[in-house]
Amino acid sequence: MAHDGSFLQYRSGNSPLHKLDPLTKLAGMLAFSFLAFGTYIAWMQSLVTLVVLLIAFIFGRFRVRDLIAATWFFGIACVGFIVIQSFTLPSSGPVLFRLFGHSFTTNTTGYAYAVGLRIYTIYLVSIIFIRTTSPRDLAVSITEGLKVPYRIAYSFFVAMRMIPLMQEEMAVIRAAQQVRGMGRRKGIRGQLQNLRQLMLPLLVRSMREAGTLVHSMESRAFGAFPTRTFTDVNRMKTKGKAITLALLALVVVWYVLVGLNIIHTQYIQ
Amino acid sequence: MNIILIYGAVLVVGAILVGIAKVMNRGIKFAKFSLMEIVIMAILGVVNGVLGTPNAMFGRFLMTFTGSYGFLAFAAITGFFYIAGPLAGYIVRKPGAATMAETINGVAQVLSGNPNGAMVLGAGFLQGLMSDIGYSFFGYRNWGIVPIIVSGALAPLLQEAPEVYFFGVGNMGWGYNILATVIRMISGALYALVLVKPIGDGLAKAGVFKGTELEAAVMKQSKPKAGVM
Repeated sequence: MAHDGSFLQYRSGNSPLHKLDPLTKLAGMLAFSFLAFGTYIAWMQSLVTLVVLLIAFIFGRFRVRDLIAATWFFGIACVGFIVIQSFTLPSSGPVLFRLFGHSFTTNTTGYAYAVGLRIYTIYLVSIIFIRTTSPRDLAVSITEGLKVPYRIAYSFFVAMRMIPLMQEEMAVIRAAQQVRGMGRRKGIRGQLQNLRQLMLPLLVRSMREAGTLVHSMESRAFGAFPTRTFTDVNRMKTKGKAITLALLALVVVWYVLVGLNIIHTQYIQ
Repeated sequence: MNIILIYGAVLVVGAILVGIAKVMNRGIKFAKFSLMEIVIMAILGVVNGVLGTPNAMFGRFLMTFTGSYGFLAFAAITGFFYIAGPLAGYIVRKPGAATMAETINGVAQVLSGNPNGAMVLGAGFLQGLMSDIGYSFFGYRNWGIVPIIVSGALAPLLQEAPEVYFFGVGNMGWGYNILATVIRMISGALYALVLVKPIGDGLAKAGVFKGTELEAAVMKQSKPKAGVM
């Protein structure tokens, strides 16, 4: 996918994460998401976030400026989440400080912090995966590595390739509707009508293009054989297998510790 | 303990519904999807995923600035996330279509920057599975408004369990979580009612679903009767 300045799109690069096969990165994304899921304790969540940030900077060669630009709005949202959760959840544990007559306690504020940071961490993990993984490589790896039927993987890849076209198309449809005097309605009913007005022409255009594409693919015997070969496959190598196994072991150990109550998930005692 | 009971109850309800659907559809075999059908499901999943990401971001802001109660406010607009399943089921009219479209929707949401991360992969699959269950109650033969509403309403049933964990609202108790589920189900039913049939029929009339069951049904309906000019 071409780089168009968006922070939420793949960008080609030469970092170790770019070179790593997509399935290992997919396993990494899932593993760190599970690790972030598996804790409500503030310092543990901070540790997971720190590790993810280090991976982004060291192995993904993300620039601090880019990462801030991609996540600042989420950072603010998470801080808001932490503050409001600390206010609204029932207080528990020793008092940390008082503000506007409300007592902020260690357990409640710690829990709110852990949940807020978890949301940020999971978003961060997704950003790293999106920015360093080509959708085409992902589709090929899913076919080769996970043995997903290539017709399904390829169709998904085709649909993914159409995302930038759809985004352009959306802007064109909105502009055309505005020129014809179709303003955007307010309220829930209005929003539904806006959505229908946008979705219908967008889907018509996308389906027409897809129809042409399907005819073109079938005329080239796409789908005629049960298997397919690819010229350029980024396969999971020994390093990828080792990383995946290590991450899997880490997740299993983590959840065993959670199950044995060595890592706590409850903040209300 | 409360959270575990909530998850357990949700899983039991889901398992019962899957069991009923299996018994009711004993004779029905899974039909192979054509390439056009697979592409249709993929595009529906991706379009819904791309349009759903801003919705998810809006929902996250809603939850941020209204705290735990934002989860209930967000529940009212979650119906849009469930559209791909009922719509794909309505167009393709084969078992598994809703599940596949919603799973692709989940992947598209992750790749287009959904703030909920990898969680939406599992959520997408669960949404689609329950949408399929909704259609299966009607034996994949009835394609009126009621099956569409049931498909949309059932979509959030299993999917909500991981979200309850993710947003940490399990501690809010049974009443809160049941209310959130009911709001989500109403939202799913409402969005499905307003969007699925008009969009599906509109697209079929535009001639973009050539070779699908829906196109054949719409053409049959719109064909003038013999002797009538």
